Amino acid sequence: MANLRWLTLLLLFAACSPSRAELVIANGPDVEVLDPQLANTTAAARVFQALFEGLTRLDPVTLEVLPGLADDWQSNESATNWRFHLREGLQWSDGTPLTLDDVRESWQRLADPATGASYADWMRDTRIETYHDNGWVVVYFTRPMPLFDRMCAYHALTPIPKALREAAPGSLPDPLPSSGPYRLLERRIRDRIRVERNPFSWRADSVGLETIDFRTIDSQFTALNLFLTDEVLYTPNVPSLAVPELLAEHADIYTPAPQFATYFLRFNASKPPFNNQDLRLALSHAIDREALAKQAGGGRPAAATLVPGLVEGYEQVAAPSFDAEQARAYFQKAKDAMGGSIGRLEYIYPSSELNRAVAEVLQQQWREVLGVDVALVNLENQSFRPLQRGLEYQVSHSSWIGDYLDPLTFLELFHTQSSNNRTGYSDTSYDSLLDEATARPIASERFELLAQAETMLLQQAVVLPLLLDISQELASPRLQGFHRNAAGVIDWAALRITSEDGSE
Amino acid sequence: MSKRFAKRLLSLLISILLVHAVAFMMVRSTRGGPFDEERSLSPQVRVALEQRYGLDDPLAVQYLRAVGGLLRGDFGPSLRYRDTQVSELLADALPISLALGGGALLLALLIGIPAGLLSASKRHPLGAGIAATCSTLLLAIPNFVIAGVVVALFSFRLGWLPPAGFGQLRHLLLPWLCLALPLAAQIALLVRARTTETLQGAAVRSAVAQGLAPAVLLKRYVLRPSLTPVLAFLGPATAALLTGSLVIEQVFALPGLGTFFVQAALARDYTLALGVTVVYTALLGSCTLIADLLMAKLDPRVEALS
Repeated sequence: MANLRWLTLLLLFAACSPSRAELVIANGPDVEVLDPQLANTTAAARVFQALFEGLTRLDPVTLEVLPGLADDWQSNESATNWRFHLREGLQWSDGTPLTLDDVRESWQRLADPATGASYADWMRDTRIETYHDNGWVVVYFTRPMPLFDRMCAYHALTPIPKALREAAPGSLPDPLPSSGPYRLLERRIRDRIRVERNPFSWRADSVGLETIDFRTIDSQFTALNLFLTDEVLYTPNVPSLAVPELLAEHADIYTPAPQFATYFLRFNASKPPFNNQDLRLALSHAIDREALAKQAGGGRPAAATLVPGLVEGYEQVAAPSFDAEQARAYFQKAKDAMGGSIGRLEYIYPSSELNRAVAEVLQQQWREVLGVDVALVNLENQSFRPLQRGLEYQVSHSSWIGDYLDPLTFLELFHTQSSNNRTGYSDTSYDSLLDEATARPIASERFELLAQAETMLLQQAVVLPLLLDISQELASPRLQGFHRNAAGVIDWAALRITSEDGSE
Repeated sequence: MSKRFAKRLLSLLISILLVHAVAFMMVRSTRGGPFDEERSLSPQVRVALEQRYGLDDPLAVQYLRAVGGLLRGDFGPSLRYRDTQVSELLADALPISLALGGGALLLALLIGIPAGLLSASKRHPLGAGIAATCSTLLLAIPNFVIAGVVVALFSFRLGWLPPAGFGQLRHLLLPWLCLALPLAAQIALLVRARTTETLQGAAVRSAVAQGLAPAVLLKRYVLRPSLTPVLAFLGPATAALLTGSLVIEQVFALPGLGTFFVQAALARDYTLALGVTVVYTALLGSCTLIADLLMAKLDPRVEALS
């Protein structure tokens, strides 16, 4: 009897199998919340690029700012206020009009602490005005925001529908109105998000695919298996172990490219022993980054700077380079200043295959050059973060993905006021360089000041860049219109699939 | 019988409450919280979030609220899936875990019982040897290793089945196989031990002497007594299936309960972690209960003894 019941269940299960979407991709971990203001993972960003459109968007080839929901925009000279002109006749995916009020109320919701958005600070202390007669929305900042048009392409700043703005915690509007080239058809947590062509999008005519499945695939090995058997046509990353084989056998599709993301070390400059700059310099000069990349990088190149060298016109100075002699000299100096003994040193890192490999190489290099044994402490993410944030560590693993293609997104982390500082570093001249840079709307002037700030940060060895992150996307040659770029921008509307014989 | 059943049911309910209490204390005493993301929240945002989810109340108040929710079957909104209720998450994932575990259990019985009988048989020494060796081997190999092997074989070499995914029956075949094989091995060994014993017993010998047909002999005198230990094993087997399915769910990208269990704990999704723990406890408890009842039905001695 019991067996019969199982069989019935299984048959039911088989019967309700969904049809296949036109494009199926592996999207990595689950998109936990379908709210562009609350989610902040790269997996979520991919889905939101399909579902929601910003006032601007980025060109996937050049990363230039393109018109999105707004067809015109401008700022005042000091970039303290920005005005956007909304396209005429915009509609949400349910056919209701998308208005200036949607933009204003979305931004106000983002700024409201009660929303719980991690990007709330982007819109803090703003005043937003709408001019319905001519279709402009104007936002006034109390500080210069020279990159605001670029930031508007990011999902946190996309207008969101009234239903979502007013949804109670623990609920998702059904249907979920969206503004992008696609709209939500189905969401099955831990399984897939299925989107379909949005007939109400202002660029609906240019949308190439009817449906797309964003599959939740936690395991990179599983995603790779699915890609190699043609079950998915795209996967965002590959397991490090598979890199050598992919490079050897699939060099046509596996072409890792630098991302706007860095792995680096944070030193806790707020208390002994690492409030001593000589000790920080000693540990920094003792690291051979090239060797580290080779031994533990899994294909990631060594990083000489905190800001990845992808910003045109931004000229940087490298961090302290590998120099055993100098490292030992600094170490001796630090030791003398501390009365002959440094005490126990500890390095904390969040658990992952890559982080462990990096930690072990660092430990070995410090031992070889300085003769010091640094204890390694491996923690899961949720335990690691409070320790780092609470400055309860000595040296810690860190990584950062830039929010937009500008040095500021890395350098502002170490501003005294930043909640992401996590080093205890506070230097008024560093802060004022950043403040001054943000007030300069001309890129070259801003970059000069920012480069000075980065040099300062690296010379004081508050952080030590280690590795550059690389995009490890695998995209099938059948996927037309896909372009690799440093910001993970995919124009889902432009994608087309050719059949195996090459026809569309 | 019904009185005993009611008693067992009551003790199951008490166990659930106890497990819930312990789980609450454990999950709340670990460092870090659900809102410790890589990008720090500003202090005002953090305070607002904690207020919204009642995390700023005293722990005792939070515990009482959780117990109240448990009694109503409402675990509240997930802290990680912020637009979804824990009950919805559980309701979506549970049938998948049940189909995965149930199918695997059925397959394990279908393979394990005949293999056990075969390996106890003296008439087919070669078959017996192979069955016994395979069982022992499979018992020693963890299911994620089996998963690698079957994916390499059925997806890459033969191209018959997808290497992962969910939605169609064919997506479940390989996961079932991976979960079932180690379990089948255990069942085969159990059946073999009891059958060997039974075959040497007085009942079988006298039945053989009376010239009973082999089919009747097998069904009435061998199979029935040999199955009692298998039934007793069903409780722990379910446990093995549920915990084992965790790895299999990851490898085959199946949206079942197992992954929630680990990820909720790691992400400090307090409400989801408690919800999954309660569901697991209830599942395990009821499976053991059902196995015990079936056993009493099959073997009267069990009832007499208890």
